[in-house]
Amino acid sequence: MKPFSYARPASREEAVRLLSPTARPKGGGYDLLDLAKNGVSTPGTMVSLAAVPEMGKAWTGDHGETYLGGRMTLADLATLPAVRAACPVVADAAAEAATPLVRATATLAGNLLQRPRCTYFRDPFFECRKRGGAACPAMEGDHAEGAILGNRLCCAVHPSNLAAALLAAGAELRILTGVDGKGEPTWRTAAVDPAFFVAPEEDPLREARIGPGELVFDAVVPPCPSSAYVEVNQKASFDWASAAAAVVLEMDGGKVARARVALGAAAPVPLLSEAAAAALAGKAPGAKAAEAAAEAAVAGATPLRDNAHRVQHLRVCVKRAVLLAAGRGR
Amino acid sequence: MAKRKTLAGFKGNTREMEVEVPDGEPEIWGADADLRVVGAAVPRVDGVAKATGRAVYTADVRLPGMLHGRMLRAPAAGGTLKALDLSAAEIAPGVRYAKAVVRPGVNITHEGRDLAFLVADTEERLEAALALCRVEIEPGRAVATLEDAAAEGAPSVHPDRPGNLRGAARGSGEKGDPAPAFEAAEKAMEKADLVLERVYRTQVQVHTPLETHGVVVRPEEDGSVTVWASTQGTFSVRDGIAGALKLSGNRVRVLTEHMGGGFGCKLGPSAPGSGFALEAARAAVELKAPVRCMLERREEHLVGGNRPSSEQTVRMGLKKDGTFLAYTARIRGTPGFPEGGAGAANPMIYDLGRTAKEEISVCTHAGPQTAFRAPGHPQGAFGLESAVDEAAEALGIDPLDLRTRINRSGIRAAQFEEGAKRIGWREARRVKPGEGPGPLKRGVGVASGTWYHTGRARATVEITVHRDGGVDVRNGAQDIGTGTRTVMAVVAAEVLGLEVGDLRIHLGDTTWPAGPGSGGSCTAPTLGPAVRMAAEEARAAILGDRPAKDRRAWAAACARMEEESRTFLGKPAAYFDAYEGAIAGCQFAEVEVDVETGVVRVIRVVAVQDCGRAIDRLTAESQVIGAVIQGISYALFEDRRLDRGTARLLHGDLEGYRIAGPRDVPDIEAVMFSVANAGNTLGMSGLGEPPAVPTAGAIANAVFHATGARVRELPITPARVLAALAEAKAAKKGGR
Amino acid sequence: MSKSLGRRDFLKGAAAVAAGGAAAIPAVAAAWTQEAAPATPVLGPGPVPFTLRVNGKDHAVNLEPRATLLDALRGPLGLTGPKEVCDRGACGACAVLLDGVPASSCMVLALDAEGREITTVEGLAGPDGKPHPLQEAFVREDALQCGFCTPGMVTSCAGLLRRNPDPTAEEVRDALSGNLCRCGTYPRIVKACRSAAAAMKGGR
Repeated sequence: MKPFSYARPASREEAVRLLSPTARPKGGGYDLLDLAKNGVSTPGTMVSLAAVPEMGKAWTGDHGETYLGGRMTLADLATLPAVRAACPVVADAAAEAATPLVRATATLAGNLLQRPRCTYFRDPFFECRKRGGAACPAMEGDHAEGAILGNRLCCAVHPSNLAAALLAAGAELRILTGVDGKGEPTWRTAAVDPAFFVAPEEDPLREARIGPGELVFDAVVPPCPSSAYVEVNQKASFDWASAAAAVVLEMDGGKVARARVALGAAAPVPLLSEAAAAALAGKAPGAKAAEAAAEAAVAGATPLRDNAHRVQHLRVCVKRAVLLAAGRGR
Repeated sequence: MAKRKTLAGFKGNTREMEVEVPDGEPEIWGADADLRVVGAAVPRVDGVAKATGRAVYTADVRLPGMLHGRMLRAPAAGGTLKALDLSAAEIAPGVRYAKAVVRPGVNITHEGRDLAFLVADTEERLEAALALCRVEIEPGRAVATLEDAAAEGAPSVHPDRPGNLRGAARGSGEKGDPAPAFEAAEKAMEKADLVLERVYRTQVQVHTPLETHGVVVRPEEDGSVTVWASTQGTFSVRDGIAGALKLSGNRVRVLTEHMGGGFGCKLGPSAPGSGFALEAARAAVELKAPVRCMLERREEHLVGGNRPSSEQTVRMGLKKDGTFLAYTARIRGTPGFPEGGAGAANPMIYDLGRTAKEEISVCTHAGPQTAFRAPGHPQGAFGLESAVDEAAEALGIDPLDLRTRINRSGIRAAQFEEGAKRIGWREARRVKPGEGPGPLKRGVGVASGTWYHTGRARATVEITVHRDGGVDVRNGAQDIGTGTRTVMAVVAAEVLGLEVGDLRIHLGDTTWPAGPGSGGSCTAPTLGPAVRMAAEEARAAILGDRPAKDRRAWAAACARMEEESRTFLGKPAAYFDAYEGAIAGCQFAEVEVDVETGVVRVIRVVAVQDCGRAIDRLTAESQVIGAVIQGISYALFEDRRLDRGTARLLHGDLEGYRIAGPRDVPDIEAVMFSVANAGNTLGMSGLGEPPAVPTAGAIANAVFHATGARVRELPITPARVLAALAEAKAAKKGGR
Repeated sequence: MSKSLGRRDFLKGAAAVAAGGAAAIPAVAAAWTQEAAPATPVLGPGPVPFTLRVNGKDHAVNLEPRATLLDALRGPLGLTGPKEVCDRGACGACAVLLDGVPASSCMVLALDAEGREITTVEGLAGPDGKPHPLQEAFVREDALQCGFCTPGMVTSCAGLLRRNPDPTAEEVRDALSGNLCRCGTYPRIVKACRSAAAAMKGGR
């Protein structure tokens, strides 16, 4: 690792004061350290959020929405009964992430904003669009773990479980913008919707519309008791998803009034499948509707030479997530 | 030499056997031997040190004034080295040593090829200095895969020897041209009712010891050096470093008290694809300071050795009743840059009629193959056992019945019965592939393996008895985690009438008597009989005709010694004809396959293993359990992948390079199948390798039974299972 | 308003929320100007003196911010129980307890561990040096071979037993799913962990 500076502010105000394009907020630090150890990128300063008290907690708002602090660990997200009750899709996604050792320190914001796991991206030896290169070597090379949707320019998949879950849940982020020591900090909110994510066609260098000096203070998740996140893994102990689906159902009697179906590990950004949602609307969420949603979700898939199995995996995830969600919150 | 009688065989099947044993050897512990400590469940003697974190490994050695060394490695394969400029690194802060180990013009055979060795005072400064080295390479095309390397017009990995195919083709049972054997086999197949041709493929597997290859070298005042090494061969490190430093062997002291895994890749002085230890020794001597060099994880993947890939084209001809008329295998594999070593051992444990085999190594721009737990066998067993299963399926014969029919070993016949009973074979096989509701399908499969009676390496064990009754047992070889120390303690305790804790076992120091490298499952069966011989000498000298009763009897006899201490040597014990010529084993696996995703989970494994006589039941079982777990990992996950265009390693980590974790491994039933007379006076067999052979074959066969999908390539990934399911479905539709 | 957020976990009405259910911006901007927090120092990139509390004792160290907790433990503190194996948080060999919870010390900055209770495998044994029941069980069940993964395995098990004194086999496997063993000891580790749990319940 290259050398860097370090600060550990004790309040969010101090944190924001310290943030700048070269000073990155650090939760668990898993991804930042991994990128630094691989020589991909090292910030000038790591601003540790470990001492910002309220960012590590969750609370419930007046309308049943859940506030999840940006520094909450994946372990807390996965195990707190209140989170599981209010938004099981988030609890599922956190529980499926990585390992207990990682979940103990990795955070909501860190998981959401982690960079792709594509081995070509993580190895500076290779040219990579995500590091400013002109080509994607994985297209011709090894893409067995690559994207099956939106993969024209880059076939790295978005690695974040929580991104898919928050997208399906229609969550909103409350973001503090750093001031680099000068001026007033500003708050903004950003809906976790398709517009929050940045596809390679627009800008391959980033995956989300958030600046380097910005801080995800928390995520506000509307209640979504009928929701689920399902992923497929080759290994049962620690594996990145081969495909993932996050499904939120708004039920009206025995029928789906409205659905949100987010696809993870399928494209360079998490995708909201309108077609899958449409296939569920007005239907009883049984096997037939689930299968229709699954087919709709993969309809436009463009698998590469060696990753057609991921289309089937995505299909299975959508189907199973719909059925799991339908069985909840009743 | 004297003829001796011993009761040989296994439970319910013993007979008196006459063997020729050199004079002066202790009596043979036959099937009827009445033993007190041997065969019990004895916790390993170094267990507490390891469980408390007190055990010091080479990676843990910290010395005053210690410097840090690392190899500058070629960033990509192919082409030639044009220039190497270390000048910026030489003057970087903290850098003490920077020396090229190759000259411009050298062929870059693999990513990670040694270029220069650097030493700095801290690891951070070392890393910074390595980044300052300028490496200029005249680019050349690299070949990463067997297909690319074997293709017409492929760039040669060794340009001075065109082409990448390296002969080593040999016929079955004959040297040289395999063609006559193939012709004879083909002729025999003409009479067959069924001829099947199938291609099986296995991947490159990386040893991945958790402790990487590494040394700490300390130059001493008197011109000698002390080396802490993470090795399976203390004496080969000694000899290698002595050669590099032009010292006599006794001026190089190699220490390996504990080491963090090897599995075959740590038998040489450095690593299979790097001379880092020799360079570290040279630097330490020149700098007059200790130098530490542990490989980083990525380096370990690159140059630490691997199990070569294989592509096995099998042809077999059978009669309707399951009689094999002929079986041929044409095998190609990638050893990386070395010009040989790939192949697939499928020793003919079955009667397959006329057989023929050829093995061809196809060089690629990659790190070298090296011995890996039963070299050649797991890949060969996967091919052979899959093929036998396919023949059984085609003939409508139960796969276990077919095996029983062609099986050549009496031991294995009994093992088949034992294993079938435990896994519930008949019951399970009543279910047809793919039957039942829901996406999760279960199936069982079987496969066999064989290994050799080893332990014929040369070794001397020294036992020192002190007047206060203390006993030291010494040998210079290493315990690589297999439990060698414990086995030695058990044997000595048995003979001397002591408890295991009464003995001090000293291993891993080349100033003690020479011992074997830990390869071929030979360490314990080499050292065990030598311990026994020395202990028998000690007992005769100290106790005379009195029985070796207990600690008190021993201490009383020792107190009468005139000397402060007495030393006894056990030289290579006798090895003679064993009950059967080879070690037998078979495994039964039960799997659950999600036919919607192709994900395979292993539910249960029963491993019935000929262990000769288990000296310590606990560590012996651990060997079997561990081998099966590595086999599960090999069958389902592990795959060293290179970028096809550049031959650069894609996953130099423990994440993309998938290894089975706790949730991927079921309970494993290790059935220790005792067979008396393993050809040494203890009746013990090495157990590192034999149980590593059958697992992948058993799993592949179970996957077929569960789903009807035959996956002919390892690892059995979800993608391959889905493809095989689609193929099976299409075949069914097509009406076969 | 901002102050209440931290304390009132799961209390309704802690944050101002617009009627539509969309989250409102908390009135922190006001707090910003009102609360003049003391400036947080930026440390490094050179060595920084600080204290680590390991196995019940304070240790003064002087390390660059980029030093990981594992670097600190194995280097200046000389605690080589935790091993460096993958250096990426993928294998668990470097696991230590941070305030009682297992974490991979190769992916934790030493500075982030300041002020926290760090326990390594060496610190699990009793003050008299008597091995922890888990360590005894690992030996008894032969839940180790080469032993290089063992400190991490023992540590992960210790973390599990703190929050779940009577785990099922499945729960042990889950808790260990970030720990790799290459010799192949998992089933025996599961057994050892449960055997230790039983021994601890029996009052050691």
